[in-house]
Amino acid sequence: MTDAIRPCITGMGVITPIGQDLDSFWEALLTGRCGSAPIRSFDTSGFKSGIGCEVADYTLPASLRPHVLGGRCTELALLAVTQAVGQSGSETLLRGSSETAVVVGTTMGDVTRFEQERAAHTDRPADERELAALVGQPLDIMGRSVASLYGITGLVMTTPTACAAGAYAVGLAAAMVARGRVTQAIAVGCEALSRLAFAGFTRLGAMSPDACRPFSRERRGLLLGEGAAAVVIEPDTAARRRGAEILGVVDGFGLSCDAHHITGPHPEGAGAVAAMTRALREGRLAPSDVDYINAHGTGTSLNDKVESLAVRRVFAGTPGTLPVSSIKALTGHMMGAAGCVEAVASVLALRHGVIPPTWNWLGEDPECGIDCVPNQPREKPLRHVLSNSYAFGGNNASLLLSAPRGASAS
Amino acid sequence: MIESREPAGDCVVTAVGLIAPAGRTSRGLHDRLCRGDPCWRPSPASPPGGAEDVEPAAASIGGFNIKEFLDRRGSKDLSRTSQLACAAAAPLAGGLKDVAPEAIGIVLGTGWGSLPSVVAFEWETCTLPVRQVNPLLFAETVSNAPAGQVSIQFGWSAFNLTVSSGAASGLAAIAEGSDLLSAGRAEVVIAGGADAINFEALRVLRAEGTAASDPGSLPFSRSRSGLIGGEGACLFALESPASARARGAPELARLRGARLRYTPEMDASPAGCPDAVAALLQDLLDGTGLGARDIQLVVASACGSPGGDRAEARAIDAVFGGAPGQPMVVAPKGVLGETWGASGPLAIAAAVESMRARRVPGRPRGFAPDPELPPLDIPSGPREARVRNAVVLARSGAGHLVAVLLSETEDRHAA
Repeated sequence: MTDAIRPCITGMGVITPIGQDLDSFWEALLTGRCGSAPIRSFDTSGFKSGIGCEVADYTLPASLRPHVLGGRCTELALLAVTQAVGQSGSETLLRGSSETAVVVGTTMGDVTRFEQERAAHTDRPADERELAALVGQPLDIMGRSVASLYGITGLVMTTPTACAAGAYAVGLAAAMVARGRVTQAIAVGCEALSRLAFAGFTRLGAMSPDACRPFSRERRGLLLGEGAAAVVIEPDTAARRRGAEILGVVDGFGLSCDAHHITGPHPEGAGAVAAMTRALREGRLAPSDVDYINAHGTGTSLNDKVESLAVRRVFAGTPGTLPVSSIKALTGHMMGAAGCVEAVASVLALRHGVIPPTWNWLGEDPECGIDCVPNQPREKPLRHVLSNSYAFGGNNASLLLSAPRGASAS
Repeated sequence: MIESREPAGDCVVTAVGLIAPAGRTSRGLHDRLCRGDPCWRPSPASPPGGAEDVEPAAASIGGFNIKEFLDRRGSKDLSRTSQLACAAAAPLAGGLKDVAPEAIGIVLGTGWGSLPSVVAFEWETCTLPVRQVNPLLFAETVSNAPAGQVSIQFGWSAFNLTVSSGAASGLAAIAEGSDLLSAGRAEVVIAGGADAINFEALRVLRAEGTAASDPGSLPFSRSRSGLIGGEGACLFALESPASARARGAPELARLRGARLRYTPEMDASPAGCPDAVAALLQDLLDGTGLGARDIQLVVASACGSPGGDRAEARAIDAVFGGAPGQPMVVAPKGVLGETWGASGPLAIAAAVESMRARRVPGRPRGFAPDPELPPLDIPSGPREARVRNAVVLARSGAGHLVAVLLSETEDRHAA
């Protein structure tokens, strides 16, 4: 990102299986409160396992209802956005703005209404009424709902880049601000747990039958989750001018593509290495400047092994051990939301000077060989954090998030 | 320092790859547009059950076989959108052999994403035990699969981005691609869009009145009653002029500027927000330092929507009309149908080829002017004319607006 315009995060919001606001989310990350439970939103009787990480009962304020153009995914997105905008104190700037971007990342989009319509009719193909629930809620419905809420007439972009989509949203939004294309941006990652994704990941053999144990020996796979996160991004000069608190800075956004396999990672982690390296280069930092990595860490055997290998390759010359943890043990894999939620977790770590641990860890996997901060939060002054996200299609994104200048962890 | 307020800086188009019902090259596409021969056939006669029981009229790519484009095993498991995207990318690969694959990025726009795969996979999960469902079909339910398949096939790995903004997706992808290029994230960006024919969506859109009830519906025409569905893919190689010159790549057109906006009211407004479209076009001109009289061609997004086409016509008239020398207006969807993610890129391909051929397509067969629309200069037939600058517009029914300005290059006629 350029020096003249540093894209700063001035507001954050989360709605997750482990907390529906920043405080409860952060507390859960530190205390190990896990979001997994038997799935309630669809029938799992045909599956080996019925565990997932759902957002428990949430309340949608009446003021938001007219702007929910879609279903559950849209509701989660709006709840996260209102938190973020509220914290940033930027609502008056956003309202009716043609200089604001809304950038939304998602994997499946808003398919839950379609699934609900179909639930009672699985003995026949979808009819026109059921298809209307899918066709009427295309991928951009969440972004349009956010724009509707604030009357935004700037750029509304949806990036359906699978499980890296939330990180793409943050990075693209930050780049738009940094390059002066917009004066502020709202980045959103959102996903509602869907039967479709549950079936797909089950078929791929990626699902754990019990718990998600990233980087651990005896890990057996991922748990699917749902949720949303949002961040408000604006230039540091503008934020300081209006007296907004700068929570963190997006100093780098590294992108790459494996160009290898549609669902599996490159065996040498080439794309992951490239994404991390590019994020560091954009932030003009050396590997030794990074204090912590918030990993993609899904808990599958292959993904964790390859991500560990990539981290070891990028940080091979760095003295000491670099802490690397994954919050997915608690949240599950929130797919399109994950990258944005994890960016928020990274900024909270920067602010608190505490690394959220990798919970459910049973012991070291020699094939990983990283310090994954097992089962116990770790206090450490943090200046720069990398947040990794990887996806189907070989999409890789690494965000370099920094504490604001002059900040010290509280 | 601030590099640019909007995407698309100094960027040239050096190659085009496309597949559409109208052809598999820019020239083939342009020829079909000049013939004005729509690519769809009327629906078969309605059975006793009524018109709702037959598939809507649509322009599909007949005889498409991915094996003509790819020799990779497993290509049959790709969704049709993925296959179309790979087919459009294939002709570009040959011209990029001197560029490192890790220096080539991809931005693909898709309006419907993987909707047909979602419907197919959902049904498979209803009819088969989970252990028997096709995992590759699941992979194709994720909307970045087409861009991912292109990267796997050709090894392009600088970045891989998918964007979705309805019928404006492809043009939005090109705008973002040009921005990523000027930010230095790749040496060459492959940008464009793809969408396969989608009868699930078309049936729903016909029921709600968005898709045409009459296969004679044409953009800006008196008889328009909605869109006709289509399919296709169209991708461009974008790079800096310096890169193109260094490689000896032909500079087919210069991408001078792009504007992206959203108009929440468009979704609900029958009038279609002409003011918002006009403001976008004026902003594009202002940003590139050109005036309305500098533009010889506007390639419209009009799809046969009664309200949307009216708004677009009024916007074009407000910015470009009212005096001699107003630009010609071409509406490719009158021949191609609404191809969603591919529509904006196909419109750019039409503009680039019009620049090269110095020939601008005219009205599609069966077109009858709507006396209630402003008097746009829609040529009655192909017109010989030099196009120095062209504006390409894309708008989605839900309010996404994108406009791109192209200029001819010095070696425009060398190719």
